[in-house]
Amino acid sequence: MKLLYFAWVRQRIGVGNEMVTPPDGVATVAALVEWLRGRGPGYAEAFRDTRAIRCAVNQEYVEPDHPVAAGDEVAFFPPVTGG
Amino acid sequence: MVQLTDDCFAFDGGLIPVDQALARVRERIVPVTDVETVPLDAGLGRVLAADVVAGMSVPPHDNSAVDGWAVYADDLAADGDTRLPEGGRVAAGGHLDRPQRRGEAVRIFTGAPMPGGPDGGPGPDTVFMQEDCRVDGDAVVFPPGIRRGANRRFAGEDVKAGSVVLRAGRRLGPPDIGLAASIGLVGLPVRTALRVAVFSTGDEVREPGAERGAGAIYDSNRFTLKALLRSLGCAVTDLGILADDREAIRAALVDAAATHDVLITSGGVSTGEEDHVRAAVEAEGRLDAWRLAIKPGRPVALGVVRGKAFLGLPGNPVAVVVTFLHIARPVLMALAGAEIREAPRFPVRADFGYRKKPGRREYVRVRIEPVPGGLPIARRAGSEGAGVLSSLVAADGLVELADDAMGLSEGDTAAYLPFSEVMR
Repeated sequence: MKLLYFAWVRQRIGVGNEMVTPPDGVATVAALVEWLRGRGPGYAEAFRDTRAIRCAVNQEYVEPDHPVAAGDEVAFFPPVTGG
Repeated sequence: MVQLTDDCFAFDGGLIPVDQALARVRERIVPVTDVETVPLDAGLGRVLAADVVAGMSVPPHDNSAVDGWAVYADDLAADGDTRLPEGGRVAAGGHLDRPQRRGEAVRIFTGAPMPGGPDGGPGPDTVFMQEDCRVDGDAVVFPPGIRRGANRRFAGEDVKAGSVVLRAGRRLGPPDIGLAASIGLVGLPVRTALRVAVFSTGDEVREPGAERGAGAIYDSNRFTLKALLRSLGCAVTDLGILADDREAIRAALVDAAATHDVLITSGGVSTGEEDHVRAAVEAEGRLDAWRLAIKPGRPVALGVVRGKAFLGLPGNPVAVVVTFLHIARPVLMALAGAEIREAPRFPVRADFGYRKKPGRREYVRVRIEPVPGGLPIARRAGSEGAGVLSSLVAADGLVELADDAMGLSEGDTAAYLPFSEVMR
């Protein structure tokens, strides 16, 4: 699946996008975040406080319990400020 | 007064990626402003000159988040109603004049400090909202099921005494001013405003309001620049349109350099042409050209005149704004002593395709249309031409295409930079 990172999420991880193949057990956004945390200190720092991160799967805003599957595009970004 | 060294903008040619230009600015440019203390009411938009450390905790004491009754969670039955006598009352700004006993409820209001416990031990830990229980004579009946600690705010939950609450280099916004007040401060140490002198050159340029005549255009860049500078908190001096004469320009630059921190112009600083501004700057200091790997954009001239920074932006009206956002703004913030914060980009769905070559960053002017529950749609805004300022007015921001990207297909997720994030 394709992952996109924006703003400080991107800055902490160090890349703007990547292709990943998480293990079979990773079936939701929350599980994906948990798996990503273990990929390195930048990831751990980016996903330390998930309340400050929003997610869109295939361009739709979703909650952490939303399913993810191979072929999805998952974007992580800070909440959009108004205006 | 800190002076810049002549070679602080030196660069050994070639196309500079935007990230590298920014890194260079961070390394080489030092603050040139002084420090002063201002009352809180004058702090909005100013650059904080030193870290602010909290001398007290906020809130200063455990308190109630609601109007209701303070109880010990251990006094409540798990599986049925509990009836407790009301033993006292404490309002915000007041306090209970004795410890709260076990087995009693105390009437409490939002913001009031939680009573203490017997013998200096812990007091009640939970507040029942008045809507969730009922009064029965001089007692209160509490249903089961409340979480221990409900509706109680801890001392220091907002700010802990001794912690850094605001960092040096931050431009102060309204919540920052409120936070300073909440810890009892009456003023803040801030950087003095960066003094910037703006001018235009060119025989074909006229002041708006003056008669235009055939072949002439009104000076818009100077007004755009003044507005951008003011939105950054600079103290702006308008030197007007200077005659296209090398000696007049040199004299004006020297004069302005004495009483300003930065000199800025647009147009007339390109390489290779008969160019009075370039010659004037080089007579009094040094000029370097930064060719940013960016489109739209042209070379940006950066230099030093009698120890003061000089910025020469391209003459094209859209390039003025884009190069200001990417180079002038970070340079000005560094000179002002402000933290250079990269504006966040947000994901949007592009409803247009776009082709580009790798090797430079490109920006597309877009309007944003919200989509319920999904990424907003970005549509190209205004006319295509690079010189068209009205397209910036029509646009909400810019879609950013990375240096190494080959373009976008319609429907792709793209990175969006709102103007609101950078024009302030």
